Amino acid sequence: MIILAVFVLFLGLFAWLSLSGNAPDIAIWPIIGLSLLFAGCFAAGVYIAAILGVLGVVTGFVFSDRPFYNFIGSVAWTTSSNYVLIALPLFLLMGELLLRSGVSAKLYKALNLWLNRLPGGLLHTNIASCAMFSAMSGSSIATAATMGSVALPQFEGTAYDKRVVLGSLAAGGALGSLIPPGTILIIYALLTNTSVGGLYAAALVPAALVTLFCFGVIFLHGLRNPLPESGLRIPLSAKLKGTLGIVPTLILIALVLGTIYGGLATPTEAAAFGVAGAAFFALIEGKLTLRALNESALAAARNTAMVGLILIGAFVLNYILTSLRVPQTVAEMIATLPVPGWVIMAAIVLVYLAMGTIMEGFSMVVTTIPVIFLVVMHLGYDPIWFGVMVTLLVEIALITPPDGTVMYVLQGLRKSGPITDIFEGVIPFVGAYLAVIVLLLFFPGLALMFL
Amino acid sequence: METALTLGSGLRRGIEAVAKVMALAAGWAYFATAIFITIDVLARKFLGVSSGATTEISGYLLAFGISWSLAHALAERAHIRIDLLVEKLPIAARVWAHLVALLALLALIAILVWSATNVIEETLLFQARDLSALRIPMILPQGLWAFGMFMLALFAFALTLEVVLLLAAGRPMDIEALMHPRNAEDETEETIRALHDVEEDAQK
Repeated sequence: MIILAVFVLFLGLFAWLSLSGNAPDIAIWPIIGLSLLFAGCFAAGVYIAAILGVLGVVTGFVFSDRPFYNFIGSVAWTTSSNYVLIALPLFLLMGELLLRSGVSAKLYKALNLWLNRLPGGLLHTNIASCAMFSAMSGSSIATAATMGSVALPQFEGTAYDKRVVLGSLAAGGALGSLIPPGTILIIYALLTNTSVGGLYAAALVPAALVTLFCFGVIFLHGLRNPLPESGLRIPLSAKLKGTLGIVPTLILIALVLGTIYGGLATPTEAAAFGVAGAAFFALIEGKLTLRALNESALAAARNTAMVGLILIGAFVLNYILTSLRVPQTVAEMIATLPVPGWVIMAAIVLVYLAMGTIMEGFSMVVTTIPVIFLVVMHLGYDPIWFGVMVTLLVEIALITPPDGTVMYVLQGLRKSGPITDIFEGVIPFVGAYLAVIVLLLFFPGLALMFL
Repeated sequence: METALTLGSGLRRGIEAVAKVMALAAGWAYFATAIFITIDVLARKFLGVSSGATTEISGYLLAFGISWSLAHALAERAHIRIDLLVEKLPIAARVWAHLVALLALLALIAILVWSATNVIEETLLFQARDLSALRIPMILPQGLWAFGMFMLALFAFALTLEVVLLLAAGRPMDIEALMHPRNAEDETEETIRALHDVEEDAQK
């Protein structure tokens, strides 16, 4: 519904512009026709890669008199062999290995020894362990699935409010793409030619803020709904011994993020170290079986192919649109609207939030960034800052009903009970994410202080 | 009709099996990339030697990895579609949506195969080599890459054929089983299975 309203609004805008004589130098009506076709294909469930690529070629034949088709091959080849993109399958591989290594269960138990005495107890462990797992893995779904499968059994038969349990896991899982190394940031870097390292540095403070706010939400919930004191006191020696379970995680984080932030390695190199490290810990745990390796390899291959095909489609479309100067024209048009820049930025944020309710984050970024990015640049915003902003918006998309992937993953893990439990539980945490977005809008320095 | 269906389905299954092996090779290529980059960085830091072609070789491995797993990803229904509306359609209409999606994908694949062939022709014409220290002939990585695209075309064609035959035979539920988009449920199931398998292996 919201997306429809936004669309009608844009249509009205275009119509008004073309009537008032401000129309850009290419005919506007065929563009509107193509956009409608585009939207129709999306709704009909056509493969996104096919929509992007075929639409690009059709647009080329309609508007271009140059032999644009001769360059599609080299566009597809350079996209598939891009050195920045290699970080993606490597981080996916690392995540798959970690999932099978048993490192996550150890991490959860170790953190729980220290956090269970705060108001909110075990719930803090959910956020903390998700945040730490996110610092090794680039995917929100992997984070939610891994930590959810470890955490949910711990809550069975306890007095914890199951809505908040699920909500905190969903919110924690969504951290997966924001806390470096995130895959969305890699895709953004690729599409906009910005630095992955810069994006990772910029995501640090916002990610810390989201994590803190989530702790805050749980703390308040814990104060309002105190749990009966368990009276169970764990001796310090046992505590210290259990804490050792956190060591593999810390080493992996140092290996991946430490080398990136320390300027010792590029994100691609760090991802390679991460795969080696994850394989090493799986080996120590005795879980590096041939089957685990084969399954990790297949899963990483499948997901990379999925991303790769969409990227090829997107770059073909982008190449043709750019040669027709469409993104530039649209960007100039929007940027010269008689409204202040922050209104347009606010509109962009709202559009992303609306889209996020029906679309999955990665497709959202690939289909919108090529045009939106230019608009944002015309308005004079920082490219790195906007990357962090987009990632935050994508994460909110993952945890807003009715189509939040992370929530369906958790629902799948618990198998019983209505999904509305998760919808209700996650709302306060969505608030935490939104608060960080507002903060970033007013204080862009929060993202840019480490650049 | 039955014979045609059996043949079509057999063809699809055959290509699917090959595609799975290819995707496995692609996944192991990523392992190889990780090991290669790690060793290369360590050797550069501590021994002062490097292959001189890290960027190029890892790029080629990625191109190989992506293209060789494209067909498998299609078989596993992993290529993204927006399923929000499709899921709500009655089955009779849904099968047509599946067919339209496949035909659009075939159009994209046709464009890609044609373009990949162009790239290969040009590379062969100029006997192109890359700019790295190893002067690798470009036909090696690009040939492998084009072959992956070709397999995707073959599989997509077989899949479309089977869907059309099933449509003609009036078996919409079978089309749905072949085509329904992969969702969070499938994803979760796989994760749980992975964790479960690990426990099982550990107990052995």
